[in-house]
Amino acid sequence: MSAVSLKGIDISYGSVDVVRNLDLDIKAGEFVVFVGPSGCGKSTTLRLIAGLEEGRSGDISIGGRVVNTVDPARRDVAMVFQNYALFPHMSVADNISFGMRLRGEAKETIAARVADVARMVGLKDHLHKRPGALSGGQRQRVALARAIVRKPAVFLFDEPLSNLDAEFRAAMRYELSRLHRDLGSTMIYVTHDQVEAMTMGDRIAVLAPLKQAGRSNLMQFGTPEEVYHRPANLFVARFIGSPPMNFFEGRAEGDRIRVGGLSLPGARHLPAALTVGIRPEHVRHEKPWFLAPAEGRIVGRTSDGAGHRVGENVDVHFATDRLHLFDRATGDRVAV
Amino acid sequence: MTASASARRALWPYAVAVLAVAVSLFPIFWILTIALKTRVDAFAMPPVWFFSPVWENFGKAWSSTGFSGAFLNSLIVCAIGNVLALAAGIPAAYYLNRRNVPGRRTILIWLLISYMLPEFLFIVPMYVLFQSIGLYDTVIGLALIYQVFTLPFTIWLLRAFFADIPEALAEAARLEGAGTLRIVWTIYVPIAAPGIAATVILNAIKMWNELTIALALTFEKAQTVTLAVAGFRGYASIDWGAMSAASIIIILPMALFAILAQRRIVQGLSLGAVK
Repeated sequence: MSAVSLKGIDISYGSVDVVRNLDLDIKAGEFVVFVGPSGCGKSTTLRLIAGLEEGRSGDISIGGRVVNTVDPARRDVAMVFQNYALFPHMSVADNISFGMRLRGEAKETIAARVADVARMVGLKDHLHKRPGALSGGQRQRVALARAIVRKPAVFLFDEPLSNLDAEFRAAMRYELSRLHRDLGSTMIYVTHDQVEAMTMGDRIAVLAPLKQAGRSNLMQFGTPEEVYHRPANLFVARFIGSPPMNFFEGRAEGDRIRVGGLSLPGARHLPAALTVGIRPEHVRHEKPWFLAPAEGRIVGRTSDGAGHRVGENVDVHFATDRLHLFDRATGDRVAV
Repeated sequence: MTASASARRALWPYAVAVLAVAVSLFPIFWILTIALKTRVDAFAMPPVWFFSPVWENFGKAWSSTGFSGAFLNSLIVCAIGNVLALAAGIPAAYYLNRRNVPGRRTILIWLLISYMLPEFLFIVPMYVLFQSIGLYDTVIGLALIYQVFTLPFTIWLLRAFFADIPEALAEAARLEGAGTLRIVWTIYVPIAAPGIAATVILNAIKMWNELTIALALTFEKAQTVTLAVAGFRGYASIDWGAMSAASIIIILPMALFAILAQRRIVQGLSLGAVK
């Protein structure tokens, strides 16, 4: 297990910048998830760590060693690809042992290690089969076994569950988390699925495409709780959470915030133009906390199972201590 | 639509197929009958449809001067020609599929143009060159000059087969410590094996049937089967029986090759058609 550090990473394809000014420090043994929409550079960054992509500038360190020019095979990383990248003409056992055979390890060592790993991922009855004879979930386990067998310092996962159906995906999420607990290795996991990010990651790096990001792709790097409950900016607030956060335009007036016809408690020295956000679960209608404006569209959660018709008037209440304030000019979170 | 109309409609493709097969096989059938008939029967008008076959034309063709040697020469040329085409074509096809090869487009267009150029264009300069470096009238020389069409064809075809192999396979192998040569040899070649087999067969057929270049760049020692068959046309007469028998003999290896490898050819040519 090794720490991974990215310092001032820039990546471009020709004249198009994909990643800019990315700094990340991943602790040894940590499970970090890169999450973001398409084009945010999450897979590109992962491939950069693996050595499959070249950066324009910046340093990549694995276990305290700068690996910018180190061959991918010597970085002590293993990668699980989205489409599994299994060798279709080789048996499951040969797929798993491909690297060991290349390194000329003894046959007995290979057989013992392959059997060990196959048992760990539940493939011991399928070792003689070709990948074509396996289900999607089993193929993913082969890819996983091929990574585990190397005992790498860092595991890299590039959307490994996106080709699986929902039921398998949930099971594999659990298994990957268990694997992380058992092996204690550093794991970096790329996904666009926020449920995966929120349930699996020790910490989440939320990335945005450069068009929306400005200075750097990294929008926030924190625990799932931090990212969800204290989003650093409007991008994170919008991207994380399903159904998404409600937003209203507001104005600072003294130590109050005016939203439509409402005056909410605020603080002194707030930016004049604000965006006020509230998560759907903090919009309530069964217990009066605060009266909401009678206009606009608000998404809320009902806990009593009460059905409402479209067009029906309902009184809703905001928990004022759960409001999120953002500077409308910069999009950054405003501390109250 | 009535049942009989739909049955008639279903028969159409078969009718067309039978007609196409008949048209393409008739010349071969006709040559075969000439090879199996006596000289008198062969040119009888109206044609003799029922006759007792004579086999002596085949014996005469095989034992005629230079025919068996030419047969062996053609086999060697096809083998060496294919080895050369694959040795250069496989790495070239692999690299020309990479995004970051400088001048990739120009190289590919150049290969296509060289494949399309008429063969006799190479003959005059190559005749002089082969004479001066000792490749004239050698099977190696012939296999080398055949690369002007086999190599571009091999590269273009293999490039299409290799393009169907996900790049992630090469990346996964690279992460495991495999170098480029090993990636090509242990990943690309086995996966594209049906495609490579199809390429070898198509190349072999083309080299086996080639006449123009062989006529110009060989004289006696390296003569190929197509020249040997043409050799039955004498100064004053043509030995039609032996010539027909020789034609049938030279069709056999490629026909056998194609029948044995038919599944592979179809597999290869449809490689990647269904993901």
